[in-house]
Amino acid sequence: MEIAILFGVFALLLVLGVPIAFAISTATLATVVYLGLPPVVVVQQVSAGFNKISLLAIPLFIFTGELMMRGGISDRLISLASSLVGHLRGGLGQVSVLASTLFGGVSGSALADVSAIGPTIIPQMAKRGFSKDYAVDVTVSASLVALLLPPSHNLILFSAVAGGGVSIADLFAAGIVPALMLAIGIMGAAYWLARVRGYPTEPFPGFGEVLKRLVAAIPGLLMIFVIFGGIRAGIFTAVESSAIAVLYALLVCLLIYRALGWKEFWAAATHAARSSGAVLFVIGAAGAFGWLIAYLQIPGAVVESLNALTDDRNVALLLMLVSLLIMGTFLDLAPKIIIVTPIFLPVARAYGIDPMHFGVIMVLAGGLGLMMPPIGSVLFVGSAIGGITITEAMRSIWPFFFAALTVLLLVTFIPALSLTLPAIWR
Amino acid sequence: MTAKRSGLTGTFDLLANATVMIASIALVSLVLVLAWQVIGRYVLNASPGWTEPVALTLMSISALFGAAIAVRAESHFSFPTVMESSPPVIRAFLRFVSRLIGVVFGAALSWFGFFLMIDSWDTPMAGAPAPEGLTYAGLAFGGALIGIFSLERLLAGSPAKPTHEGA
Repeated sequence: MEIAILFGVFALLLVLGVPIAFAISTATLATVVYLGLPPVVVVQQVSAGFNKISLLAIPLFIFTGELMMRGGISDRLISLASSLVGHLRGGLGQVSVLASTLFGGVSGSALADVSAIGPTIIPQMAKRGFSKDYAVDVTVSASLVALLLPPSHNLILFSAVAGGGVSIADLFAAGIVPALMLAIGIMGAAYWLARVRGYPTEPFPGFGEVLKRLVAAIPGLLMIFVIFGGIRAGIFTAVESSAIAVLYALLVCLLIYRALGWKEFWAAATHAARSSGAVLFVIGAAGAFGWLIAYLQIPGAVVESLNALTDDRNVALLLMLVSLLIMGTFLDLAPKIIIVTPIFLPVARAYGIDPMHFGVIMVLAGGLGLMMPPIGSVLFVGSAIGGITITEAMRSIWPFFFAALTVLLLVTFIPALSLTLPAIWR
Repeated sequence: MTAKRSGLTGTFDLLANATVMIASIALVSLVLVLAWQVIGRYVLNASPGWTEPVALTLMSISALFGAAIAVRAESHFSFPTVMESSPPVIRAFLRFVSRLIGVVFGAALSWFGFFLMIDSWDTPMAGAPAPEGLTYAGLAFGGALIGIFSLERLLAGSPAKPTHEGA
């Protein structure tokens, strides 16, 4: 009965449009009251949900992304990408993918990625004869690469919710190969669609110009080495690296690019505070939800049910993957990670699936939801930048969606794709 | 009535500006505290013990004050498809229910947050020369702000420009 109350109230409030954090908390409170426990325990667990050291990295990496977006780093990365791949079939479409991959490698956020690259690349593509739906879709799907590259705050979130034992540095390493596969898959889809529609290419600017743009982009690109190298070399922890990343971004944007004034800095800080507040509020609320899930021994019951259904690891993986994709159609990525991890991770462990591998699957599967309605926040932002409706944007999303889905299936059933790099670098 | 209304809106605007300022200052302070932790370890050769509990307190203040601003902008994660495709009367009712839950939830968070803060005020924070009760300040004050801004939405309706957060 208590499980029915917990999930019934949550599902009802979710469907009615109540913010997820409120829906989770109300469902938890209703169940706690039904169980005869004191309601203050819910607030204590919300507080405990916030009190995790690894969560400190999330607002700071969001802040870093905001600074880089406003401080001239994204413009230089687009310029470099344009000189490297603009001459390929699909021209600016390919530029969008490479620029997103480079920016994703320094911001770790799909929304920051599409917000930074989109306003520059989408209008330029429209001006050069690309249809707006193509311009929006290639940019939106390319931004998903950021979800898997260091310093992805979604991977940090997974590590925090997993409750220790899953190192952030290892997760960062595990995401690199799948991220590069995703970038290549989306470039392939962009190439194919550009060929079908006869889109133009950009002239190759010459190696001298490529070198010039590379030099201009290097200070921004070094961010990934500062973060990843610093953690791997043991100079600082993942959490400390997020503060160093903010200071490094400030240094580059303020002193080298001279593109960041007080107004932009303050806008970055306020926007980061509001965005991270929305994410962390769900995390806190889900702290109580996760505690109740453990208290009611729900993961054990799910493992038993799945065991009764199959003892094959791949079938269990497929069932979980389908569930994750379905949930991705109505839950945004961060809430999904927070709500699903406490239930599915013990199941994955019971079937011998590595938590790092499972984390990469979870984030990539959730990423697919971000580019599809009704939840697709990244698609919404991309469409708004392109000035088209979601229905128009949906016209050419499918090749990109299937490219990403193919990568997801490969990553799911070939664990070595995500587990080899962490093993080498450990 | 209009003057009274605009006076109320002005008060909410002032409160929102103060809230966003506190959330942002807490965020910037968080950067400085963690950077000091690294400087302490490598430059001063002494890792300060106070940085972690202070950083956690700053994060909870920044997060809950930021969450209150997102409540005002109605930009929290949600699944609005059913609500948005409902007839106007049902939509208005669902919005009312959602905002009312926000008021009650914010009030409860604040009430119990203050209770926990006062209850643990005499206990010293582990690692920092501050009362343990401070760790609940974000919940107590942020919860109150969540309730107040939900109440504003209940009285004044939807904000001018909805935005989306996350990812």
